Amino acid sequence: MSKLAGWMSVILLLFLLLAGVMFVALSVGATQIPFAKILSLLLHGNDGSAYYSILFKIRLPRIIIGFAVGSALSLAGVILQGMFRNPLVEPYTLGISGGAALGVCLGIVLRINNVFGTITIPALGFLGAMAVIWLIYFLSVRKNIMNLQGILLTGVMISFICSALFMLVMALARMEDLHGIVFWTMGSLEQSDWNLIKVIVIVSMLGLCAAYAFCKDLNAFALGEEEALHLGIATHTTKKILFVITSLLTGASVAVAGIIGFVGLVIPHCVRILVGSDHRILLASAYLAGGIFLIACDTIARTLIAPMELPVGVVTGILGGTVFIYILSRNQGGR
Amino acid sequence: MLNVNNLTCGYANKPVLTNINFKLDRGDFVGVIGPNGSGKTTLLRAMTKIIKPYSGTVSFNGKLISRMNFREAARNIAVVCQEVNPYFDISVEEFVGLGRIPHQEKFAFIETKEDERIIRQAMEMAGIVKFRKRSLKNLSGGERQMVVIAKALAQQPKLLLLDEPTVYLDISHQVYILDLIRRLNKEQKVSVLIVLHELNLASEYCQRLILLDNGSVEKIGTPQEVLAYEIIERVYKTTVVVRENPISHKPYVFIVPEEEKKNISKA
Repeated sequence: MSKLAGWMSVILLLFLLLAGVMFVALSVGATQIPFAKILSLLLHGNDGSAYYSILFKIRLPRIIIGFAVGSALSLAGVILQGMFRNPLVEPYTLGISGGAALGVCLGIVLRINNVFGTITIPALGFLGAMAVIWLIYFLSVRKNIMNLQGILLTGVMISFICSALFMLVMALARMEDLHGIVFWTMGSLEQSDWNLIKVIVIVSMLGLCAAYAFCKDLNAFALGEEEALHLGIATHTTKKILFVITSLLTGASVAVAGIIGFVGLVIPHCVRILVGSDHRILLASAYLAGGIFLIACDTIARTLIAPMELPVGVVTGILGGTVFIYILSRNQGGR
Repeated sequence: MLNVNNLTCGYANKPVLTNINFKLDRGDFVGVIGPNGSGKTTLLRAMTKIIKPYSGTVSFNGKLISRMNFREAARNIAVVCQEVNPYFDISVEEFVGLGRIPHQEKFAFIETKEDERIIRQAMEMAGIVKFRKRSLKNLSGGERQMVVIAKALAQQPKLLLLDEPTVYLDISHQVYILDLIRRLNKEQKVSVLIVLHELNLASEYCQRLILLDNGSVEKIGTPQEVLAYEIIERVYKTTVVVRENPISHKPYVFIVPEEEKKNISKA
């Protein structure tokens, strides 16, 4: 089989898996909807039943957000791990989640969380994330050159500082504010604002297209920055652009769904084991797999103790971490 | 082809090389030798835009390297470093294929037939076709260095820069690698600028040698001219005896341990 045919098979397989997971996610929940009914509603539209509202107003938006956020975080993880040549880097390692959490926490405590309606909390999260990103950028850039290890260390330190400030604000917060803060930090795909859903879908898809312009650059980065330069990659410019792409992907994801850890760390690593490290197939595979993973995790989160719901971040952490350790130990055992 | 003119360069504000001048023509095989810290690697880095000159110029085929973009430079000049450690697992064939990046269009995701032919040819030339599907991580140091040279060949360079490509290798691999580079030089007319620590390898394989000392050129010339014992003793600050290799008739540098120095006059 040629390389291209092999890659197309992987993508096709992931699309089939995505369709399967989406279908299951549409069907299961506090109210079970039979597959036949889902097909009928998808084909014939509104029949006036409660199923229609559950399907199109509750479950479908969650699935769309789940796919967009999962794929965006996974894509950001692949790009960052490739750029930093470090498997432990993920979108949140750089302190982005800490900044977002601090932004939201301050917004809630200062009672400015409803100034602009439902968009205020996501906007505060996005602003917090962006503030941290630019702070890291300006602290790490010397003479217009980005030092990757400098960025990583600065990011980790800022993450610690943000966590400490977050705890400080929590300690000073009123009891009634604590629930909102804690729930947001655990992540949720419950979002009724279609404008926000559109934003994350567009950011996620544009992010994939933009990343593909740099897939060969990322392959060259695997050899190290100097080797990439020898292969004709303008590494200084490429690093800056990739940093902006990952920042936007992460910032938008945090804004819409809160902090959902592990997706950007675990999925790129697992997909790399399955399809190899060539970013020409890795980017698209990790993108689809990230979406599939988050939809699956969200489905588990809302069905496990239905009608109550678990925070999706809890499921991604437990499921992702366990699968990650299993795959890693099997992979090492096989060597 | 390569013209280095009054080059002064270094890191931050500390010059490492001062006033370097030399030329390299098509098909030349030139070695750079010198003690540790004399600026050999820095010289190679100045050829590939990694460090910018404080003053002076480096030009390739009449065009200043500093005016070339990285892609243009990589189409003409390939670099083989001492060691390459790809972070992710990668097969030999995939690794050699990376050498085609400077020649590929930005959105050309798949190698063309021409790319595949060149990659195959580079692997054949380096003698690594038999393990093309193996992971680079599972190769020995010598095999890995052959793969790195094959990647450089896939770049189809006019000038090949090598930074101690035989370091850490046993003598059979040293000879294999340098024979391979010489073959490329002769058959494909690829010019070679190679940094070598081992003076006798430099003597055997290079047409000309550039001896660096403390960031300056101490001597440029044929191995017979450069590897004179008084020059080597002065630059390396160690006692040596230089004799002729009876087979190749190139100079051969013998080291003299401290306790044997009393026997030099007998030799």
